[in-house]
Amino acid sequence: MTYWLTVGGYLGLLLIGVILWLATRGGEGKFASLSEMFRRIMHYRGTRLGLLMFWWWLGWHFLVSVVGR
Amino acid sequence: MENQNKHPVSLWVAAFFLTALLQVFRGAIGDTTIFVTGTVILFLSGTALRNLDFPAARFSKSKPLFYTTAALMVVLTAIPRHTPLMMVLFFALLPPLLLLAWGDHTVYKSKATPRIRRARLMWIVWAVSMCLWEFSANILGQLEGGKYVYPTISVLVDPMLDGPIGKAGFVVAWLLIGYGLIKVSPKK
Repeated sequence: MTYWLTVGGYLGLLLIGVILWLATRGGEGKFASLSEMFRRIMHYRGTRLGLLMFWWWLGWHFLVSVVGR
Repeated sequence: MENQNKHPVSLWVAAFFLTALLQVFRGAIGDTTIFVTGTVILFLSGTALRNLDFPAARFSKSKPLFYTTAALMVVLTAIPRHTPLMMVLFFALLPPLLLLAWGDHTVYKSKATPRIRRARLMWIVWAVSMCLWEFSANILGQLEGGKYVYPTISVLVDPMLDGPIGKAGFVVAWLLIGYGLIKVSPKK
């Protein structure tokens, strides 16, 4: 029961993310697209370092570490 | 038109520090070391080393970056997971990656448009929700003592990477995201 509740939460959030991405794509709407937003926020060194270090860790986590939990 | 960032210590410092605390709770020494080091780097990048710049744009030109990414796709797919060779490769990747991310400390003077601000807030809410769900599953799972009672994303995704197709898919997706993040960084 808790297993499926937890998995359902991930899938629900993933689905919301996909919908938000599709809804804001290439638009002139009220929300900038994901690529527009990234082009802007990557002007900040803190954001660049934070995102790229997290990205590196993600690769490390799955390809180097042995995942326990 | 540029000026300096008014907030020298970014929220990323807090994010990495909190994640480091979670890694302590998990008992993951390697991940704790990574996130503590990341916290220190982020803190220094906005304080003591703030004015230290690196000409990252000179090294993030399209062609070399593209060929490096393509070569990494082949190499990372070929090397088995959890091996010393994979570890060495990841350590080798880190210094150039940090230098590319370090870049210039200045930011554009113009304020973000309302469209950007709305999108930023929306994606922050989404990302924080995902992190809270994952952190909750991690903490509850540790307290319950079962890996599959409250599974984390890692527990769900890791078995998919045991096969060659799953692993190749992960390597390609992961590298494309990294390539995209470097490509959208400022070119100055």
